[in-house]
Amino acid sequence: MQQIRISFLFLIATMFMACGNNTTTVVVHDISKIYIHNDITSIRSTDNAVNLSATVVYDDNTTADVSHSVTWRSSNTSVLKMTSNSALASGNGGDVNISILFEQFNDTLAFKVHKLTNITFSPSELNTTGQNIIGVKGTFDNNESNITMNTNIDWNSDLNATYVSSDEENITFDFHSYPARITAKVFEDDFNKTYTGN
Amino acid sequence: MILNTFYSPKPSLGLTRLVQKFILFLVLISTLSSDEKVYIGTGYGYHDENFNKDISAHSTSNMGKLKFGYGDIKAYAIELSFDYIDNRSKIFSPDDSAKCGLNLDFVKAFDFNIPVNPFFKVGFGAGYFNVERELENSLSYGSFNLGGGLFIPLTGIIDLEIGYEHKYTTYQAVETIASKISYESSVNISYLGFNVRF
Repeated sequence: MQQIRISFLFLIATMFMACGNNTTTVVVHDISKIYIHNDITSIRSTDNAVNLSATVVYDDNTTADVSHSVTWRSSNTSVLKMTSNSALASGNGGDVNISILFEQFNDTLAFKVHKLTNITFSPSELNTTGQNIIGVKGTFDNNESNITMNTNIDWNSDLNATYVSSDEENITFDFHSYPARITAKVFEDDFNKTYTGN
Repeated sequence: MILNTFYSPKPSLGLTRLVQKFILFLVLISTLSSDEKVYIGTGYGYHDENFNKDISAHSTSNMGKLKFGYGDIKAYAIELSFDYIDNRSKIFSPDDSAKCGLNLDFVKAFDFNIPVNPFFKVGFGAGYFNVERELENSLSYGSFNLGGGLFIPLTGIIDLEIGYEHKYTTYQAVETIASKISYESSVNISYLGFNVRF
């Protein structure tokens, strides 16, 4: 009988203790949305790849960077390719939508690749054979001019000159005779310059 | 055929561990005295859970227990128990449900020629509960269990059980897109129950 009495007291004590404090406001916050930062909405076709950013917003309005956690997609890979959050032009100009996905969460950003419309060669004329360094700048369809071209240019020439090297500002060709034509191929578009030697 | 599989020249690591666990189980069973009996039991307790590593949260709930065991009230036993925890906290979502768990414990009891039989037990468990999160409908958890208490024989087949358990609980990782976070908690349970031994 004594044992039952002790057990009953224990039971009552247990029920009393079970009325303790409970955390009733969610501590592990849930996801509200994800979005792409719109600080970069365009690149030029000859720009280096740019890194885009994505953020998750939780239900307490705190945020976290998820640029490397979500799946990035381009709506037209012949205009722009996404490698993780890195965007690089894959065509000379065009409009594209960039999307991020994670389960049922997604966001889309309208994005533009500006088209290279002209290349300015400096000097505009040459008359010496041998290696010549030529400065090159680009003009784009948004009327930006005198722009350094970083990538996506394939330099060639006719038989009167030989390609030597190039960097972002200059190209070097070995001129054998004149007239000599050099060509910059930017995706599907060719930009030609003929030096007459005069 | 089975033996050939078990003792093939290169058994898999998982199979080897399974065999080791089976042998350990047989050794444990072999230590049971000749007074071992099948028993069933039920209990009611107070479940107090603290998250203090990654988040600050607290949960107190009533719990019910139903168990099946095999062993001797004065020596060794194996217990399989089902827990139902009336989870009244809202830690992971606005609608965290009650928790259901399953535990397997090894019990060592003692006979000191007094009216009660002290015991301790060690084991492990697993369970789940429903949540209303964007990326999870339920969360599972695993636990390592330690406990002790008293068996109080009332009749030849019925005994009261007063016990305390401490559980180290690890929850399934919660997806936040930015990362997966696995929360851990420390659980204290005091309970009262009775067992019927056949």
